[in-house]
Amino acid sequence: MLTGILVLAFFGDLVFGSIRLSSKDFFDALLGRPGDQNISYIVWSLRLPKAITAILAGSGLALCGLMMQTLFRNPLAGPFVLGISSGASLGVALLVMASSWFGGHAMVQVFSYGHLGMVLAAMAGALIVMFLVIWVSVRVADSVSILIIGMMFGSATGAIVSLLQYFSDPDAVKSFLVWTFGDISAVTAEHLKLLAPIVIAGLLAGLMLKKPLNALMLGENHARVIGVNVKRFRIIIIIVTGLLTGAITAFTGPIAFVGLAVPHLARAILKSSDHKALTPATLMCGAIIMLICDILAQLPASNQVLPINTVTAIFGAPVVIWVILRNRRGRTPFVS
Amino acid sequence: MSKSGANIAILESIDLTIGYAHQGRPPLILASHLRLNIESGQVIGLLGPNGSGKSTLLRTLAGLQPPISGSITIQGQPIKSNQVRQTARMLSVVLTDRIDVRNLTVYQLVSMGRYPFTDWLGREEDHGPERILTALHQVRLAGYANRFFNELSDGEQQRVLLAKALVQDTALIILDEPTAHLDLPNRISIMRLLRTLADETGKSILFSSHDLDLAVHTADHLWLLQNGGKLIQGSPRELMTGNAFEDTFRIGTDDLDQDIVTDYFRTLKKSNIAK
Repeated sequence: MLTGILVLAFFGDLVFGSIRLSSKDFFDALLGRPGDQNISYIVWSLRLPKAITAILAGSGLALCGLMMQTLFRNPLAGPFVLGISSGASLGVALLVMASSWFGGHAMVQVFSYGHLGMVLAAMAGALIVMFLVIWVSVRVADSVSILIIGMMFGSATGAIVSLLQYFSDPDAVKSFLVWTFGDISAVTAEHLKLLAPIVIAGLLAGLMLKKPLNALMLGENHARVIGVNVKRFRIIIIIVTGLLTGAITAFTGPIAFVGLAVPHLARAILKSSDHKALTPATLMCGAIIMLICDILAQLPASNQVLPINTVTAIFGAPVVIWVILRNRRGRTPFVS
Repeated sequence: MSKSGANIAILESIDLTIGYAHQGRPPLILASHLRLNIESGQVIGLLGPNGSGKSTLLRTLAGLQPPISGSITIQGQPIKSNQVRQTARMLSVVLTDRIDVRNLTVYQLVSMGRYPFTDWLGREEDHGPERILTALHQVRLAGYANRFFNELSDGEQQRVLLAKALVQDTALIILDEPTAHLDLPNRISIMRLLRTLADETGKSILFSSHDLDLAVHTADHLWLLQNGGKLIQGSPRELMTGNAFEDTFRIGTDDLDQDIVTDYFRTLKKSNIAK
């Protein structure tokens, strides 16, 4: 059923956009039949990369959220708890704002570097924070300390970004803010050649981790007594999360909410906590939610496009609240 | 298989010193030069006051923390605290740490006891499902396979964890305070279950407990760990006739409490030696 919805959402995302396409034109273009060159360009060079990006980003962030929630046994954990996306923000902030200090107009600077410059800066920032988190987690015994330290990294880098904003000119601040709204349409087919392999590798790694994830869900001591090397898998999970979050954030900007909410949605739909089924379901739900949010962001009746970050939260949050309220079951803890 | 087969050594420790090593500081030693052994089919109860190091001893024997010095072998093979998968094939552990997971079935949880034997995708080799149903039957939870673990009572949850240890198929099961959160009927039934399992399967069982009365009834052998690290071993009957219990539990209490402790053990001994 999820596969069906995914396919529907995928085609929906291709069809709807600021330029309306008739279904005949659309299929002509998709199937390569001779037709309007412009429509063919829109479908193949604009909408298809965007839809693929939505699938990659949605499933990748959802997987990170699931792994973080399982590893830290904390329902509020998400892909951003380790401060990796803050690292990406810092990279972009440094590029955008610091470059404006060396003369020239910020927007001009950014466009001359191109989108790829921002991507590389974000990647560098994310990787630096990821290696700091790994460096710490090799030395610390328990996951809770890692969680707290990760959040501290996030706060510290966030504060540096604020400082940069404070001392930068308004144009630079604005182009940075635009990046933080999230934008999956900026990812071109060229970018996908870099983004897709990283994300697909991360997704495969996540699917292969179902056994340690199931064990870690019980708690670290329980995992150890059934023979799971907790420390090793903790580091593997952090690396997979870091690469996925870092790469996706670098290309699309920090997309909030999806990583945190989708695993809860998948659990509620599936009524199972077994990662054998839960991981694939989470990937599917992530991709579907992201595609639907992108369709909504196009505002089908107008020429305006909303920032994807606002859509994911405004439309997604009520859905998740509704699903979770409907599925409340299990022993209520004495103190919840 | 009953106690007649009991003199094959399952666990042996030589000159074992347990405690916590700190970098740059002298180690905190809880007990030293322990010589322990467990034979097949034996049920051993580990008793002692709070803070005497019961959990530390169990964690060390289970390979969850390294000893300060000395060695532990299971069926002749040394336990190494950094080889968790190897260790999990030699002994299984039932912990009291609460498992707070929704929508996890009893079957799914028990099947995780097979993790030390399955490949990296969790694929089972031979008779996985049979083993799991047999284990659920052994802990008197046949028919519970598809129930959700978090909807069971504390006593039932404890049995599920015991079933998970059973499918791990090890010669030794270690339980850390298996009766800790249970009411009296459940405490009795868990202890009975441990006794029956040891008698029927020939597995050795080591458990820690604060239920002196139940432990005395259940165990073949008791280890009394005193504050200060002295460990007294013997059958319940042997230990009852001396002052071992009083010595173990009296240390650190004031005069009034000492009287209460003495009275308690007088009653305990009367009820047990009489039989």
